[in-house]
Order: sequence, then structure tokens, then C-alpha cells
Amino acid sequence: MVLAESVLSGSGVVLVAQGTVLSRALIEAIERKGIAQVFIEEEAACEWSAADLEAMQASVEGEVAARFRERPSGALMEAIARAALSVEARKRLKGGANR
Amino acid sequence: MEIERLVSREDASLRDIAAVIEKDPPTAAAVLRLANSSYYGLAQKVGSVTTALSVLGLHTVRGLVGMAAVVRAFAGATFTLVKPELLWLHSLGCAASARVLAGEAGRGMQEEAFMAGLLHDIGLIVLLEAAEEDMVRVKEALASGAFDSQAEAEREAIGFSHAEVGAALASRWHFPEPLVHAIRYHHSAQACEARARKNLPASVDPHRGMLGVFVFIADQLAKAMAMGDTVDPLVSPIPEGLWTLTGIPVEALGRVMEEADELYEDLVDSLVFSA
Repeated sequence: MVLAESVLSGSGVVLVAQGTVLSRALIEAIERKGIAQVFIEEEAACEWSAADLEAMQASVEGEVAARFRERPSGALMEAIARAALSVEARKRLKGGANR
Repeated sequence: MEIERLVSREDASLRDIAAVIEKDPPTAAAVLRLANSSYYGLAQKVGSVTTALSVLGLHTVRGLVGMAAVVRAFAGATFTLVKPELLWLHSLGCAASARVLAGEAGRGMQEEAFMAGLLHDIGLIVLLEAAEEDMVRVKEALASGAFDSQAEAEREAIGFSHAEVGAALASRWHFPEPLVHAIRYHHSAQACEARARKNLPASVDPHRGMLGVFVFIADQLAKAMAMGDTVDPLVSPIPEGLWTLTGIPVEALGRVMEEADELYEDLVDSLVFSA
């Protein structure tokens, strides 16, 4: 699936999974670019597998770990580190910018 | 400013406040954008400031007016230690996280938690603008590990912390006392926990000290998820005793953080990029 980034970079074509609700930002971007046609993909090709998620988590593990002042220890801080890793990996897989 | 004075008055009606806000385009635009964001999930677009105010409520409007005052005061901000827009995103991330935490805890204070998160670093903007050289030293001291707490490093370098400056501003704007307390102690887990355990009567603090607890935790969650940037971007440990006060099981953290991130992304789209 091609998300808002492709619209903003001016590819001229938007592909979204069927049933996807377009965000206001995306609709505005489509209008701004004067895109007349939006192609709807038949299947949800945007979904990633558990293996993709695992690989992405492994690739950003060091980056997320560096956000902590101390190595996370104890059930609470370890859970926060795991959740942060999952959020970051999903964001990267979705192609969203880390802002 | 007329708006700040009016919003802080207990007897001011929504109609009076709307009339003044309508004369101030940046604040009016912020009020309308927030009311129309998917955060409030309204089926129809809100076009008038009066309707937007009734959707948002006075707590939120007070916070927005305060934030607008800070943004206006530092519209020509010259500091470069942290990009002002990233500092704003950090506040937005803290606000989203605090709101989701308060909702998950079932405390019924999501709006107050959201605004406390949004405003927790207002004093930091003041210090960055007024004493950037000192703040460079603070950042270096934190990076070298000389201090674990930004507030302590600031007291050493400047004599007071951004949390204390923020609380002074919030008092001056007549923000509710629990909000002032949350801003003052958002770097002190001990003070937040002590207040929450005091079990003050609802007449003194309707939130029973939980506002500070949510903001302290939300500040760390926003840093863990790299929402924006701040002078001390590193996540500090959250004492287990503080977390216990929320009543949220640790197992729920993954879902809580995902929800906070979704809300944050949504807010960024509606509040920042449509600005």
C-alpha cells in the first residue's frame, strides 16, 4: 500500500486498501495535488507478517534501547521498552516518519 | 491579555469567552481545529467558536489559551538547543499519553490529564529563551551522566528548574491548583506519589493527586516512543509504587502505548500539519 508519503512526494497515484478510511490530511493532499483518480487495491497487501515485524524490531532494537537512561529492569520498565519497540517497528513498517 | 483574564474568571460564560476568542484568530483557529479533530469524534464539522467551546469544555480552553499565550510570546523564539516544533510535539505526545493513561485508569479526568501533559513543559520554553547558554550546560551535564534529573541540573546551573518556572506561570494564569502541582512536580516521582497517597479531600483536589502521577508517567512514555524532542530526551525509571497508583496492570502497557501513539499521530495530523 502506498500511504500519504507518495502523495506528498508527488507520485500522482494513490493506492489504498479497500475499506480504508482516508485521513483528512490525505484527502487534503489529494486535493492539493489535483489527483483525479484513486486506485483501490483489491486485497489488503499492506498487511505485514509476524516475521516482518520481528525483523523490523530486531533492526530498531538498539535505537530504542538508546532512549533509556538506564538499561530497563523490572517488570514495568521492561514492558515499556518492549511496547516502545513494538510501536517503533509497526510505525516503520507502515512507512510513517518518526516524528 | 483579555482572553487570559476572562478565561480565568469563574463567572465568565462560554458566550463571553467565545466573543473574545473570535477576535483572536490564532486562538480561534486552534479551538476550531481541536474541536474538529478526530480526537473528539464528532459526526459534523464544528464551525462556530461557541459550539467548539461547548465541545471542548473550559478546562481545555484554559489550557489552549495558556498555550497560545506561550506560543505568541515566543513566536520569534531564537533558541536552537531543541527545535521549538519538536518541543511542541513532545508536549503533544505527553498529552496524548496522559489522556490514554487517565482513561485506562478509569479516573474520568482525561481532559485535565491531556491539558496537564500539553502544558507540563511551558517553563522549559521560558528557560530556553531566557537562558539558553545555561541550558546548553544542563544538556551537557545530563548527557555526561553528572545528573539523573533535569530539574536538579537546572537548579545547579540556574538556581531553579523549568518545572518551577512553569508552575509560577500556571499560578499567574489562575490554572487550577492540581494542574499547577502537576507542572511543578512532573520530574519528581516522590512528590507525585506523596500527594496521591495523601488522599486529599475532593474539595482540595478532585483528582486526588493523580494528575501529577499521569503526567510523570506520560512524560517518560512520550520519550520512550520518541515523540518530538526535549532537552533531556532519555527515559527515566518509573518507580513501581507510582505505577501501582494508576491501577493499570503492567500487561496492559503495550495496548496503552499503541493507543497513545495512535492518538498522537492523529493530533499531529489535525493540529500541526493542517496549521
